[in-house]
Amino acid sequence: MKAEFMVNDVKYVVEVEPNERLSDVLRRKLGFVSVKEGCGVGDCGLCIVLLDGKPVNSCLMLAYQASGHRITTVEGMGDGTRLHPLQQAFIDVGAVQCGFCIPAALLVLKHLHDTKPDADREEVRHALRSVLCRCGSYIRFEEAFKQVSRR
Amino acid sequence: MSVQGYLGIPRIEVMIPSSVEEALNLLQTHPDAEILAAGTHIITQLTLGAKRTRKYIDINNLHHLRKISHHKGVATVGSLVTHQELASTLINHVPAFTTFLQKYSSPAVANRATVGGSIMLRSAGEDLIPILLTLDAELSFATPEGVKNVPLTAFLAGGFGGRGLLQTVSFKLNGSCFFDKLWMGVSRIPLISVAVSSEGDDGVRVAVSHKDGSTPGRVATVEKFLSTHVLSEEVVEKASRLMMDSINPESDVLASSWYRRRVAGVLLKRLLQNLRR
Repeated sequence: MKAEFMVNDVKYVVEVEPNERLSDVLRRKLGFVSVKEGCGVGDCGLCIVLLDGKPVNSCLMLAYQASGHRITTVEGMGDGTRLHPLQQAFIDVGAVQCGFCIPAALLVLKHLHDTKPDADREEVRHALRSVLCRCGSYIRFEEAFKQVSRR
Repeated sequence: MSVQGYLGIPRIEVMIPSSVEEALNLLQTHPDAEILAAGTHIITQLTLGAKRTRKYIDINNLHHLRKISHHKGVATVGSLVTHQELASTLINHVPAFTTFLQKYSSPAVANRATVGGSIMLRSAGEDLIPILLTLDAELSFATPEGVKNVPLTAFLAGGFGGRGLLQTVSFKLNGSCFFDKLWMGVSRIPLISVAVSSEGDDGVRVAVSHKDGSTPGRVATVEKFLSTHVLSEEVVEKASRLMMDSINPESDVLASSWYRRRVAGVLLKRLLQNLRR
């Protein structure tokens, strides 16, 4: 079956099997390697992408179900030459340790920033609940969000 | 299932109807097929190798099932409405939805998981069910014989006797409906969850995730007791003890039946104290 969707403002028409998950297609067929697979059952959130601007677990979605939707991965966050302010803030506060969850953490915070730029600490923590960071960098993620909010 | 380090799901066949009639036809002609909504549960089960069904009827093109409306104190919610859409739309009408979202496992999952999916699972792990039970929810199924309306309580007890498509859930909007749960682990699967709603002169509704085993249900003995007593501190205490004696939750690797009963009593006490305020 055919799946037709936009990824980072580029249209893709892909031949997919019904059992291929969105994470499989994005990472393995289209090469968006920021989309990671951790648990594969929706607990860790490492496969999060934005679907029409909202965070979703791409391992819990069949690829054909994304037809007609807009997908954003971390590769689409900057403008091609400059990083997104959140990406820069992650660098500035040293938020990255192993780095495995960073794309997902950036995307959930991007969604929060787009919808509620003045979100308080509890709201930031609530949003980050979608992402399991084994290094425990949550405090620095919060700090990065705060830095961007202050600007 | 794992191939070269990647998880994957087995081959499946998916049919995508574009109308309710077509979906019902497919249900009749493919008795081995199941309805697939967002798939947050089914895809997980397929990934874990815990599901044998290989044929699905994907209803995501039935866009009219994504609507929420409310009129004269009653909400009607399409079965494809997501948990996030439901709770954020009706949060000002039902305070239980605030706690529902606060204590939800992952906001990203709430953006996909559907109201219909939760109900059809009939499982103690679905936080929405106790809340809807206290709001006298009624389910509307499309069947080949026409529309069948079934109270949620009856559906939990024994289904609705046939194959059909859950279209909408209707329930009362109640500003005195509260919810709480105790959970364990990242998935925030409830060890036990409790919802209450005050119906004024009509008493208090009480529902719990594990009424019998792992089936959610209303707790009639506690409701009857509360309907004949004014909600004093002493009555709250007695209702809490009655709750512990009135449910028969399962024991599993997460918690024993005894522990679940105790927690249900404590949560009920907190919720009734909310009602007293």
